[in-house]
Amino acid sequence: MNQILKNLSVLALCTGLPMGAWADASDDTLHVAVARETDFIDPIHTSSADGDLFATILYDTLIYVDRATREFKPALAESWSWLDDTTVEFRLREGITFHNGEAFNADDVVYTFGLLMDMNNGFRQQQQDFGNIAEVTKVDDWTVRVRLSQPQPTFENLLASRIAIWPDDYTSANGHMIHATAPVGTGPYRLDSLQAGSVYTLSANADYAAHARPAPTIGHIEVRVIPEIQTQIAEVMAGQLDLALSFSPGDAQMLEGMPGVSVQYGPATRMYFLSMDAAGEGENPLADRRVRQAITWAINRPEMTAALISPSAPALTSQCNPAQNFCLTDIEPANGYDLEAARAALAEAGHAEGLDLRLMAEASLRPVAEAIQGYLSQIGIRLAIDTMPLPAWRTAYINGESQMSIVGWGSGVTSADVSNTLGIFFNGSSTDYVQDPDLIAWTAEARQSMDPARRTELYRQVYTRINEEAYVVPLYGVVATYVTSEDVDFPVPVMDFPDLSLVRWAE
Amino acid sequence: MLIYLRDKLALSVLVLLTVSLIGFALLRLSGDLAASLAGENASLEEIAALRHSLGLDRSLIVQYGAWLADALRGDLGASFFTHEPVSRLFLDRIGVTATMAGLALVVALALSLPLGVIAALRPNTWIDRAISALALSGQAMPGFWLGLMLISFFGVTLRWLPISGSSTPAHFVLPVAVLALGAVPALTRLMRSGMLDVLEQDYIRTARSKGLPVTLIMLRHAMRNALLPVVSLSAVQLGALLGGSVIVETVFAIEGIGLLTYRSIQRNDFPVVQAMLVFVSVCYVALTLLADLLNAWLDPRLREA
Repeated sequence: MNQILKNLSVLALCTGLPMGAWADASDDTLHVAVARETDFIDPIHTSSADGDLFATILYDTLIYVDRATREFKPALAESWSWLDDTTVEFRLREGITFHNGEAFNADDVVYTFGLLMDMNNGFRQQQQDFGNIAEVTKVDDWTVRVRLSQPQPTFENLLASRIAIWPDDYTSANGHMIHATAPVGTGPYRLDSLQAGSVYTLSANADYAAHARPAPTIGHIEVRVIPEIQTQIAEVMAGQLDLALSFSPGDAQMLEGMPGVSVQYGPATRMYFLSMDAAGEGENPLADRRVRQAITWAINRPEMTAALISPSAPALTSQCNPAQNFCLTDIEPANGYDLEAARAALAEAGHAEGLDLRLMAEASLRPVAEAIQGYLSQIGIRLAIDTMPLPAWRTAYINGESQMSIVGWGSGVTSADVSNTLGIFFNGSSTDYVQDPDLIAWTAEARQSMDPARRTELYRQVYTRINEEAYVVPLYGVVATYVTSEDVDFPVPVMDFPDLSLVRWAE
Repeated sequence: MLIYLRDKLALSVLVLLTVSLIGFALLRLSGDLAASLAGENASLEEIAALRHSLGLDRSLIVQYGAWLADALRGDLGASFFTHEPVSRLFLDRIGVTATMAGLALVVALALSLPLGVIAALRPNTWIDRAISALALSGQAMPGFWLGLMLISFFGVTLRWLPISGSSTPAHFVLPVAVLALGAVPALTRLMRSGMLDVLEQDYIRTARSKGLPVTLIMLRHAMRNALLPVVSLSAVQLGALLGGSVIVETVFAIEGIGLLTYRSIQRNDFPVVQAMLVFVSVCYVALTLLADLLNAWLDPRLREA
């Protein structure tokens, strides 16, 4: 009922109401809206994707990931090189100052890495993301060497996202928590004021040393947290926003074609898949490959993705999102929609009369769960759906209580690599519902191989095995939606982590 | 009266303890907080370490005891997400919420008192029915829907008022209107029924027979008596407005304790949600206690019951 009322109100907002002029560039302030508050605005304290919006423009990292090409480019480090599989040396850029005037040099890098390695600091996912850093050495004022415990081909992803460089004097004098409220970096914008969870105002750093990205051209940015999308739609229609970042494709569709409004879609690295308890013991129909194949063949993924997610969203054919590095989309068998084959496989497995199964999902995924229920009913599978809040679902999943689950995975720049997505689902842990020794070995080797060709080869083996055995059903990738005013020139990034310093006023 | 006060206070404390215990248990049972906090990509070891460091691996009753002991000392803990003390999060936001609730109650009373009186003076006429219909509509309309409709008309179409935020007094007009319209129906109906009761009393007939002006009878004799239950209800309504601002603050993006609660529920920020639960309970219990005492003071039979 509430959803119906909400939809009616959105309809009322979108029909027959006069449109106003957009917030123009006269005050040189980019008005941005997001739906969720971030816990921290620096990337070291949090791994949250919500914090990335601020972290990207307040801080510089040693290397920068280009939003147009996903290439790594020199940033605070003007160059870097791998001395061996575990040692990387950075040549730092000279003449850069932090927002507070402190000069940048090797001491800041060594100090920041020292904090990352001290597990008492309690940074989010600290062990997971920084636990492999073994040693940091200052070679000279402009050269730093970092040694890892194990080879880590995805280390550059971390360097370009979570490892912002903090000023050593300022941070040691005030404690690292100072960056939660009074961040000081070398980024293209500095924080003017912060009303936690509500409004953040930033202004351009006039002394910004442009390197991997150009100096900012917009003077000020105001980011407001507006939790209700309907309210954001009203703000868009009233011309009070230049950029809205939290719309779903469904919400944004209603704004398409509206004068003064531009709706753009871009790739996102998050993906969803159907997990099945292939390794479960006892009377477990999902241990039978033919049952899993029947389920896989019975779900029309392109149709479901276009209808429920977005026509722009990718329907997945292998266990990765095409927006990720090392995602291979030419895997055979592709396991496409084939209802007759599904029925035959189920009958061959001894379930011609049908089968009762239970699907768990986080509450917001109910429409997807119901679509899957509908598809499976066509082959006689009676699917009971159990939706619950995310923490409850996660707890049950970690505890091995899932027979079937819809799993969403991947966020942050680190998820640009498939090792993140394959992560904990094929490594022999309690979240591995497959427990295939080959997959455990291949993914472990791929996580540490510094040879891109070898990694590709290993991942091809992984994806092929997953599809052959129908261990999971890769479902769909997410689409990032950007609603902008026509006053704004917004370059759609190749990943769902926009860099606001790249936004320009339209000419 | 003192015995009555003692019993009521004891009952209030028991209610608060019960609410806090049930709330605590429900929040703890809603899922593994450590798994939520550790982040999606966290390893099982990291989740276990976090669970231990937060004391979430202790028994429920031990956790509740520790929380209660801290709460009685005024320490409500810190947000799991931002690490800020809960008391500071509340103090930073309570002003906005209290201002909105107070203004909404004033507006609601300003509307419902005259409407109730007019309806009582013209019982069973079209005016009475129109006011009843208005009151019913107000009660039936969900706050978020009304909020969006007001935004659509006054914010988008007419551009008279800002749509969201809380930086100027104008930002409060629409949210206060939504909150007030939610409180008007009950207050109007109570005022109407109170007035109808009072108007049938002998002393009103006597006043009329003495030839006193109708306005004087209404203001001096009828309204004063009919207002007493409305005052009691207003106290309870204020509690509802303070606790019920979650939806309005969310729709209008107003940084009060309602929006804080909404976000904290979304991300399982247990200390904040628990504190909000206790805050709303204290408001209700205190205001209900006040209303009970007021009624007992006015009606000695209640003290003896």
